[in-house]
Amino acid sequence: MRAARPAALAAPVIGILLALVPVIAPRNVSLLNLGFFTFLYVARGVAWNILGGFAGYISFGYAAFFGLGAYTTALLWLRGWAPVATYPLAGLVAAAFSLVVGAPTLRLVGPYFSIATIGVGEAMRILALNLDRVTGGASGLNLPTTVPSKGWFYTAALVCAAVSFAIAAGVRRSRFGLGLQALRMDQEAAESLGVRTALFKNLAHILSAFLVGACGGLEATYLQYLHPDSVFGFTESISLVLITLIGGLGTLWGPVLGAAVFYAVQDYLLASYPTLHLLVYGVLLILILLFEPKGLAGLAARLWRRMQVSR
Amino acid sequence: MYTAQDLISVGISALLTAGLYAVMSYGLAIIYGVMKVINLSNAGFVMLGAFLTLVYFQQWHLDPILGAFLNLPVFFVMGWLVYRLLVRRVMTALPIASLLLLFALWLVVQNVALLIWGSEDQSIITAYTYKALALLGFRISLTRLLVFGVALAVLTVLHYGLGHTYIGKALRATVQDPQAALLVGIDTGRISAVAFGLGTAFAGFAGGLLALLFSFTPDFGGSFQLKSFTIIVLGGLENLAGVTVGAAILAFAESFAVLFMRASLQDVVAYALLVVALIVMPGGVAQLLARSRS
Amino acid sequence: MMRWVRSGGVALAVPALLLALVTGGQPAAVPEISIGSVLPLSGAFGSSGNYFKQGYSMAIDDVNNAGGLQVGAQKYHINLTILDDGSDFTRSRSLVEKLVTDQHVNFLLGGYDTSLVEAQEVVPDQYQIPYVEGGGAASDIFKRGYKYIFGTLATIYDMGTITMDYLAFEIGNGRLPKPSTIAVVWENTDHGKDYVNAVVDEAKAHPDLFQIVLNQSFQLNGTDFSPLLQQVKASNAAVFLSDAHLPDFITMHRQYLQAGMYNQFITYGARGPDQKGRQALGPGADYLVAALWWTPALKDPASQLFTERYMREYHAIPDWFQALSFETARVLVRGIQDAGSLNGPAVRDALAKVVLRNSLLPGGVIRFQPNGQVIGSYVMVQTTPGNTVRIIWPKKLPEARDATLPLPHPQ
Repeated sequence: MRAARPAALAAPVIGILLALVPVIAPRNVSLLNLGFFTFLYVARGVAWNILGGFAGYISFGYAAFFGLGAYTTALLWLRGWAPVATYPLAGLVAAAFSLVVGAPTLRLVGPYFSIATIGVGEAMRILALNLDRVTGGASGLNLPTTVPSKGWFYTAALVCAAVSFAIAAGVRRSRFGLGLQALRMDQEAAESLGVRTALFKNLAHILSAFLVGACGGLEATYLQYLHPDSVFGFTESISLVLITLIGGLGTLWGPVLGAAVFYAVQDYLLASYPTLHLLVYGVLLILILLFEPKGLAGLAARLWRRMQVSR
Repeated sequence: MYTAQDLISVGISALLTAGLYAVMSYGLAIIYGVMKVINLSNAGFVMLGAFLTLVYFQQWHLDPILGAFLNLPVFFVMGWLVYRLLVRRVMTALPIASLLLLFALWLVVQNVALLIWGSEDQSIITAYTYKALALLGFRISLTRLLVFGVALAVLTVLHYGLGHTYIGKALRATVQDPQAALLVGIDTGRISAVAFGLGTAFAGFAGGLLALLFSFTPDFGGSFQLKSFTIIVLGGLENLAGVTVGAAILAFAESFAVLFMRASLQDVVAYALLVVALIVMPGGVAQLLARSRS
Repeated sequence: MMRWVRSGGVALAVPALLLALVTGGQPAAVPEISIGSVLPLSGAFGSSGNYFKQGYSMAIDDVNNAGGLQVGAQKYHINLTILDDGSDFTRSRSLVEKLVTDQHVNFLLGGYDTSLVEAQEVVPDQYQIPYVEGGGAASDIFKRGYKYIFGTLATIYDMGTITMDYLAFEIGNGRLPKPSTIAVVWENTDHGKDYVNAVVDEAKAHPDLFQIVLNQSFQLNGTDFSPLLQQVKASNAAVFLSDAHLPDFITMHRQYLQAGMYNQFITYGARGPDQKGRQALGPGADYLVAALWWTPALKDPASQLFTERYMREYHAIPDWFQALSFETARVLVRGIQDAGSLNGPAVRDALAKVVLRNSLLPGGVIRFQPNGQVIGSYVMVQTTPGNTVRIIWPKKLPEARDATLPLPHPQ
């Protein structure tokens, strides 16, 4: 138990250091924007990992929660609400929806569940494209033009990431987390040992959906424009899977590393190789998957062990 | 509101579309059935199939249907290589890893196509592109009829092959129960390579046929891919013959739904069917049939 | 103690390294200025995005080849940076912002397609960088109160209105029935909605001329339009209006022809004369009517020069994409020249007052309304056999001829 404590300090220390950035460099908008998107990816990746990594249910439909959260915030904001006040509601709407779709689909086994989530995500996108009076449909939704500062967004995203991380860390250490891991390894065995698998699965789903939904609200505030194809798109869903896998499925720090690398690399490629970014990005992914399917966390663990052995 | 003639006309076009859907989904079904991997690069190979068919057409004036057949061996080799060089190495790890590997491959294929052919819309026009067959007062598009006919023929051959050749039976055995297949001495590694090759071959073949009907860019194929999932689920994920049935169900549901609701909601039919099918009958139509038999 | 230092160190080092990689930008060297644009070079809008890239590049190359951009007493070489957003909205917006914050562009040229422009347009005002676009045609773009956004495209709503005006003209001539029954189908996008709104509004305003008998929307990238076309056929409309992007236009019209359908007047919005559409449909695209922002059939010197130049460089006939993007870049350059400075607000004010004559656009002049939208209009054409077009509207254009209406019956 003593070994856990120093490592546990790493997170808050990093958090505080990152929080100081807007204080030290308030004019470096480029850094603040980078931070905003990276932290939001961290928040979503970590949240997704609660169901995907801990419980082993790989969902390709989290865009549905992201989009619902985004549109909830958008519609309330247009009615005069302060955006910040809408984020918890955005999370709740997403969580409620996740309960509705989760209850039947979580009963499905592995690949069937994954395919079902694709269907749900895409169905939401097309519904959003057609429910013009609610979502603005295919025209998208133009949101208010006054927004807080870049520093504010940076900090808000950092808070989202911190909350997400804290919750995931808490889950991991709790009996709930143990139960999730048990049901990932062998659901029937876990059930026979008294783990309430159905309850735990749905709880993990709702919790992660809430976090992703709240993130959706924050991103909607930043973008000031929403379109179903972006927030409900398959690209959004698969990004979360990619982040977690690159980082290390089921680990705590995996999605954090994965999000940072994923976003930073993609950002760099888009800005530097306008005609080659798909190629380079695809090749990089392939290389990572070929040589270290356990992700960056797996790589870090391997290096760590090697350092330990050589001591 | 709609006359009987209208309805029959829609029915005919639904049938033709079903053939198209079936041939599009077969590649995905084979790979999923044998390897339990959702091949996200399928769309990329369909797109490549369309582009290669265009190349044959432009260089050698090869008819797209013949071009589609030429794609079969070409893409089989491609798929075999992809399996041996890339997929095989990741199969032992998490299954999700191979899915993402194939997704990454899709990105690479798109960019390669962009670099070679650019982003402009391409189409193939043959002498018979605008011809229609007049049958009993109905006009049937010749290209769609041909695609349907070819699809049906090839699927029949495939069905025969699956039932009467060693490889075919080994494939089906592996689909049904990989462990049992190993026990009876089937080299599942080799079978997986064949399956992947076959699946990719079908993607290329479908691409060639689609090139006859639609215009395409390197972005082509993505919208078909998600529908194909619905089709293989409806048919029964572990059942190859079921794909044809799944394709028919989807095509008919979509075509008739448009008559009674907003056409822009058409895709929701596919996804709603997908989710409902997974929840209510995860084994697809095949399971229903098996149940009714027993 | 050492363990957490190490783990923290590793966890910090990786992102720190990447941050350094990403934010290490270099400021532009004098005398050079930077103009940036984020276009869809891949993804759903890839084909049009690349046409826009051609137009922008041609215009900027012109300026550089003439010795550079004259701003006050100094000549500057223009560095044009074009990034690919892959037709993704979030990426589009963040890349535009990146162009400003990382690559320190002085000015921005707009993206392509309305929704991507709407995503991008929140950025320029935040940094006071003028943004001129030629790819977004929804009126909503100019209703948000942004001061730094200028657009050279007339709205799709206007496209619908001008089409109906032309129909009214031909109904008046007795060449189309009065009232004309209309079947209108439209893609479920901003584009389609603007179009159908115009059609519906005009029909309401003139019930003696127009009667809408079918109004249906469809999803992009359709595989089979037969059920939809079946409805069009069953409606027995005289006029068939459709608003579709190129792939759907090709699929839909092919099936239309295969089904042996006939209407007295057919239009697919701006589709028909574009080269890819012609290639895909051959004689099937003959006699379609289109409302365009520009056509190579315009005989004014500026259009002719542009067409010749484009054909020399790219060995193909240009469409409105290349012409509009060319003009968009030209008007931005003119704004900078007029302002005589690189200062954002100054150029913005110059653009608000700019009058660009010798423009390719129908009417020959580019001028912006107070909300930033161009005072522009359309030209309507009918495609004629042999990959030619005939300008049919407005009649005041010297090139305007009579259309072949009602459409000839197919053989």
